[in-house]
Amino acid sequence: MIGGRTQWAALAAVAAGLALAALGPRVSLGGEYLYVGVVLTALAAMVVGGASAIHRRSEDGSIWLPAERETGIQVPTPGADLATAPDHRIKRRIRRQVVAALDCAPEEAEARIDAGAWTDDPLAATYLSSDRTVSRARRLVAFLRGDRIEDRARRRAVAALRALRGEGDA
Amino acid sequence: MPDVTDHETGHWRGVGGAAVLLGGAAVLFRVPGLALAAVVAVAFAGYASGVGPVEAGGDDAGLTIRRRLSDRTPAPGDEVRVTVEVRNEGDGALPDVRVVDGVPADLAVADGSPRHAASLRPGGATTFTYAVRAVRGAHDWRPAAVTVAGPSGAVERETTVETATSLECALPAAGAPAVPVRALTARRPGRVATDSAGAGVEFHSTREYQPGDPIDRIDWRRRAKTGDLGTVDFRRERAATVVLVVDARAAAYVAPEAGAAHAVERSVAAANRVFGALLDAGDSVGIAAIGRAGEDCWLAPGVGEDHRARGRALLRTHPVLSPRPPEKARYDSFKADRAAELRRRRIDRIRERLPPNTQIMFFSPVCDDRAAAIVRRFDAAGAPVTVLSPDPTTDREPHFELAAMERADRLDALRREGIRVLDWDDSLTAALARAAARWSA
Amino acid sequence: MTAFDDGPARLSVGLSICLAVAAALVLPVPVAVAIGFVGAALLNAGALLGAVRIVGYGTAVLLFAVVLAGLQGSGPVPLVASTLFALLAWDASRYGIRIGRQLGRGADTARVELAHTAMSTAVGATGAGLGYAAYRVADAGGSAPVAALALLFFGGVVLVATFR
Repeated sequence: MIGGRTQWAALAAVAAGLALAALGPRVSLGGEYLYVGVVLTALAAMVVGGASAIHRRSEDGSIWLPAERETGIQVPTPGADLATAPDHRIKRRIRRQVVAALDCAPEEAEARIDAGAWTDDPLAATYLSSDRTVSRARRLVAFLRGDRIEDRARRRAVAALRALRGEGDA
Repeated sequence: MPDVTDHETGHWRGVGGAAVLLGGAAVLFRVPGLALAAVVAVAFAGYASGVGPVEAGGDDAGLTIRRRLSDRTPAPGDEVRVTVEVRNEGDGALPDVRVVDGVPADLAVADGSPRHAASLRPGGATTFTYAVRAVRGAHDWRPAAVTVAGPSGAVERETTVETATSLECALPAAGAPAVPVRALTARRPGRVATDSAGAGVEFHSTREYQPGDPIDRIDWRRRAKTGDLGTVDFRRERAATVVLVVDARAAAYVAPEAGAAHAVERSVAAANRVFGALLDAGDSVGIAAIGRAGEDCWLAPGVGEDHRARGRALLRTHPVLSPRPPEKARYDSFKADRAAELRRRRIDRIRERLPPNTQIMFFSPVCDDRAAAIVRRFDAAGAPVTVLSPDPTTDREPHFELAAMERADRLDALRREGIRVLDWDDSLTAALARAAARWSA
Repeated sequence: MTAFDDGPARLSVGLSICLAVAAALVLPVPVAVAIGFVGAALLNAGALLGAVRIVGYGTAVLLFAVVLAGLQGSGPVPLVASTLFALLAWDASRYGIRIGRQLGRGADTARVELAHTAMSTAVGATGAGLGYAAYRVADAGGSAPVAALALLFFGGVVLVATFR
């Protein structure tokens, strides 16, 4: 955008400025006109500098980004498909496991789940129940804690299921 | 010739603007101090542009790389330590050298980092180390990605440096520690105890000791009672015929976490040990696999050293048993009932080739319902099935735990139907010992 | 085996935090210090989060604080020092962010980070020193010094503009 001759001119200006600075009080130049000239010079410099800065900003800087080398062969973990599945599918699978774990007839098991009577944990009970929904107060607490309410509820439901199966802290 | 790319990072982008801001304010408001501040910014701007990419020693910047492996022929699952030395063979100082080593695509880094940075003077070198977990097959290192940056950071010159390094990972010769296979095959149809007397397990009779009889069959009870030596004879057992079936479908390629050995690797390693141990015990063993489309994986049951070599080669290199998972499940693109029919036919094709009285050992993580269906189909056809299932589940998250519970239920359902199931996590040998106690009770 | 952690490199971020706070503290005018702290906070937030743009905004605010201090009559030494620290903080945090993205926190990058920051400090300090020397020379009265400064400034900016 700006050629080599201008660079020489700029260097000359810097040299002249240094010379003036060195000569200092022995040179007296024309008062107010000088001041106006100085301001105009400064404004011109700012325009030039600003335009150049904007010109450069429009080009994107690129950096070296090496490819990932640490992972090797990538395979899923069992249950990973559930992580992105819609909530109702996960609920259905947990329900099925709870029905299997409860020691009674399927219809009675379904009834107990809907009533929330299969576990002591209120959040887990509400999560699986199709009759009840999680209260707003709980949602707020979860939000403040930084969890999503579904994540907490799922974790508690699976923990309750684990207790039901008698696996304890396996 | 390595590909060299220069990146202008824009690291100092904006310093010019800072100089303008400070200098302009200095002049407009007549504050000389701000002009000095502007000089600092100008100094940085000159630094940024005055120094170009480091032109040292040609396309690879005069760098050489050397690697040392702690073990060039590991067994699957072993950790191999890689020590890398990067040396500046050029004449110029390289103040900012960044390296990412070219770890082979199939190997995962288990410890440390393959990435490193250093300042290298001429003749200087830097060393770093990391560990990879070995996976079956031959692995070659790729070129290391290297960038040499100028001191100001404004320009990065990207290039590659390479040296040939390779690793050959093969299944170990099954031998020690011996797998107690007797528990797997004893008391099954096909391994019938005959009425003839000799070596075996079940007691048959005792007789007079004859010189040359094996010491481990001396009847000590008789000696204690009467002082005579006698030899115990057992029911002689016929050798069993076994086919090891490995589940290598897409659904079987699962692992508890990134970088861990997946279930197909563990199944193949287990099948390798069982294969060798059963042959040692005198049984006739074959191998089959259920998995991706392509060449059929089948070795008819046999005995002998040639057969052993063929079986090991099959497990080591057959494409159906590849450590890399298939792109997608084999029958996913078919309509549901056609897919179901193809799946049934796949099992039936194996069944048809089985000699009479063959036992099946099915190696599978059983993480999906189809695996259980496969077991039941073999069982229904009359071939006694033993399921050896490596456990790839984890309880890190609730959905993983749910999958673990579903797998446990699947295995329990199979057990309730009378099918032998061996569920192992760390040590196959320990799990077999536990199972032996269960199954001979 | 852990996933690749590509957060900003710790040493550089630490250095930039210290430098940004120092840049604010060194100013003699309380209002400027206050604004400087805002700038330092922005810069540090950007450094910790790995956001280069926020680091840029924080540096701009710090430089505004320098200008404000100058307008309020600050002497040249704090102005130069603050500018130097601010630009070094900007440099160190951008470097740390980039190295983190390229090599990750798990790699041993401390030596290169120190080398880079040391070089930058040398350049900036030299610039400050030379500028201060010129200032003392030009300090001896008259209108010529202002003209001298203007010429110096114009020439310098044009030179900067012609660079990459």
